[in-house]
Amino acid sequence: MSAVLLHALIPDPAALASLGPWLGLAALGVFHGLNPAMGWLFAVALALQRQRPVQLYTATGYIAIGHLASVAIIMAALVLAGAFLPLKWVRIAAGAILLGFGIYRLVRYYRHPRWVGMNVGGRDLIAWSFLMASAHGAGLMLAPVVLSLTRPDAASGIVGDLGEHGGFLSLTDAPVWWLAGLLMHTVVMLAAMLAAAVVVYYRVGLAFLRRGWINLDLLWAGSLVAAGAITLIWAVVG
Amino acid sequence: MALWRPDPTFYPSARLAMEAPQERLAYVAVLNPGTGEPDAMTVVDCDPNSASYSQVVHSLEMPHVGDELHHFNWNACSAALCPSSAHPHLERRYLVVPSLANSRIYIIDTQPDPQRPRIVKTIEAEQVRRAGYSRPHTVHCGPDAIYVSALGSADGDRPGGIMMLDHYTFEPIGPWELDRGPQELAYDFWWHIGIDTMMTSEWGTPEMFETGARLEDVVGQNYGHMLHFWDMRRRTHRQAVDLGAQHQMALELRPAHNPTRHYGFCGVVVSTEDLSGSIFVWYRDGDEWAARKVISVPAEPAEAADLPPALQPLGAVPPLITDIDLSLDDRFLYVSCWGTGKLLQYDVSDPFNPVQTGELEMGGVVRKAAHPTGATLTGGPQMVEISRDGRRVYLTNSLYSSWDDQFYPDGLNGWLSRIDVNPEGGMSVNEDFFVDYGKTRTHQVRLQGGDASSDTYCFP
Repeated sequence: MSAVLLHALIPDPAALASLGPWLGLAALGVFHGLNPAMGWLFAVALALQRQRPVQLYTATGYIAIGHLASVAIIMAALVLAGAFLPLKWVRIAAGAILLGFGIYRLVRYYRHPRWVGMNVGGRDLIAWSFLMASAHGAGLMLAPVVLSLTRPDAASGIVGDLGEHGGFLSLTDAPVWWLAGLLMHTVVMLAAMLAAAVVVYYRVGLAFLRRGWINLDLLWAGSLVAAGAITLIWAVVG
Repeated sequence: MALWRPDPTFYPSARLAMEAPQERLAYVAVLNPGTGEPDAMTVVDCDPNSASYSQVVHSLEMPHVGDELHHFNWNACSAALCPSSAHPHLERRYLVVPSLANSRIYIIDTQPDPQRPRIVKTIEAEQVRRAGYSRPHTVHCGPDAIYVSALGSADGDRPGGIMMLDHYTFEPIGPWELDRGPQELAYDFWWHIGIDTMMTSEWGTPEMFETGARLEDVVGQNYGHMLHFWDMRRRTHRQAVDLGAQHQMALELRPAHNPTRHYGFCGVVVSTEDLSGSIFVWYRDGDEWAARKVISVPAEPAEAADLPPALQPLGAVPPLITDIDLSLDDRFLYVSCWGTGKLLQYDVSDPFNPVQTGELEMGGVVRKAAHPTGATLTGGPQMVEISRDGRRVYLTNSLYSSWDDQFYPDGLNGWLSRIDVNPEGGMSVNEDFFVDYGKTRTHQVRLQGGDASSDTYCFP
C-alpha cells in the first residue's frame, strides 16, 4: 500500500472542523436509539421479566456494543474503499447500494430477522443487536456522513491543516478521528435508548406502545432512500 | 397493508388486553360429517346492540367435503409486539384454518368485510407433507413464524410434531424440531415465551382417533400421557414429564398468560383407574419441570340402558375433560366435561389449590340438561372460549365427528351458547344468546380481535 493511497484514510480536516457531520452522526444516533426494534424495548422486557430494573442499563449497554460493531464494519469498509478507489466511485457505489436497499426495505419493511429467544445474556444481546442493526442497514445509513468526512483529494497526498483547531493530522491520528465519530454515534444512540427505556419503564407504561409505536420501519426505509439519493447527487454534482 | 400504528388488537400484556372492547363477531368452525355438504366457517353476531345479535350472519363453505375443521387461530397476535423480533405493523386479519382430516390448511381473509370472510390461499396436503407432517391441528402466532402442531407424520403415522409457516406468505417452512428426543405423539402446544420454553401434549396417532375412541387403546394405556418441554431457541427436546400411564389423553395446554409466571394447566380426558378426568399443573422444580394433579372430576354412575354402547361396559359416564381455558388475568380456569355435561369454573389464583367457583349443567350423555330457554342440548360443553375482558364465555358442543357418533349416537345437533361471568366468580347461561345450528356441528370459536387462547404476550 503506497503512502499516497493511505492518505485517503485521513479525515478531511475542513469537514472535521465543521459541525455538520457531527450533528449528522448524533442525529442518526437518536434515530437508531429511539426505534423500539433496535433494543430499548428488549431492555424494558428483560427488566420486567426478571423484575430487575438494573437490566434497563446493562441490556442497553450490551445492545449498544452490538450496534457499534455493526456500524464499525460498514464505516471501515467505506473508509477503506475510499483509500483504494476514487472517492467519486465510492460515493456512487455507496449511494446505489443505499438506494437499492432502501427501496427493498420500503417494499418489505415488515421483514425482520428470525430471532427466537427472550431469555438472553450479554453475549446474546450483542449478537442480537449486531444482527438487527446489520439487517436494518444502520451502518449504511451513516454512509453520507462518513463519506463527507473523507478527503476528496484522495490521491493528492497532501496532509491538510485542521482549520481553526490548528496543527496537522497525521496518519496515526486518523483512526482516532474515525473512532471518535463511531463512539459519538454509539453514545448518543445509547443515551436515546436509555431515555426511552427509563421513561417507558418508570413513567409512561407499556400501553404507550399501542399508539406510540409508529411505523419506524417505513420511516427507516425512507431514510435509507434519502441517504442514498443524497450520496448519489453529491457524487455527481459535488 | 402498511399500518402506521400497531394493529389496535395487539396488547403488550394480557392485563392490558383485558381492557379491550367487547367482541362484535365470533368465527365458529362447523362440520357437516356424512352429509355430502362441506364444512364451513360461520360468522356470528355477538353485539347485543345489533339487529342480528345471536345469529349466523354468514357461512363460508369450504371447497372440499369432509375436512373436519377443528382448531384454528389468527395469523398475527400480540406476540408481534415481542421486542426480540418485533413486527407490530402486521395486521390481525387472516384465520389459519387446518383441515384435520384432509391435512390442508386454509387461509381465510377477514377483510375488507369481517362479516364476509373469504378463502385467499390453500396450503395443500402435499405441502404439509413436505414440511414433515399431516393432520395439522393447533395454530399459534409465534415470535418468528406461525407454528402449527400436526398429529401425524408425513406418512400418517408417528411422530407428530410441529411445523412452521412463514407469517407473511403462509408458505410452510418445515418441521420445527431439530431434536425431538423421545416425543412421538402430538396434540396441543404453547409456550412460556419469556424463558424460551415450549410445551407439547399428546393424543394419539391418526389411526387411534380417526375412527373413534378405541377402548382397547384406552385400556392398554396407549394414548398420550406425557408433557414435553422444549428449548425454543435450540428447537430441541429438554424434558418429558410423565403424568402416569393411567392418565389417558393429555390434551389442552393453558400456560399462564403473564410471562413471569412459569406454570400452566393441562386437561386429561380420562383415567383408566376410576374414569375421572383431571387437571394437572406444571411448574418449575429447581432446574426441572414437574407436574401435579390439582383437580380430579369423578365419573357419574349410570344405568347401562341410559348409556351408549361404547360406555355400557363401564356402568358410568366419565366426565371426559376435552377442553380447558384460562382467563387473561390467570385467575379463572374453565373446564369442559363433555361426557357428564358440565362446565366447571375454578379460581386458580393459587394454581396449586384451585377453588371451584361455578358449575353449569348443559347437555350430557345421561344428564341431557336443557338450555334455560328450554332448548334441547345434545352433546355437552366442549370448546370453551373466554372473551378478553373475562366477562363472557362461548361454548360449543362437538368434539370430533367420529367421537360424537360414538358418545352421542342418537345424534348431536350443533349449538353455540354464551355464558356470563361474575367478575368475582360464578357464572350463568345467557338466555338471549343461543345459536342452534341444527344438524351442523360446532367446534372452535375465535372472537374478533382475539380471545383468551389466541394471543401470546411478552410483557407482564
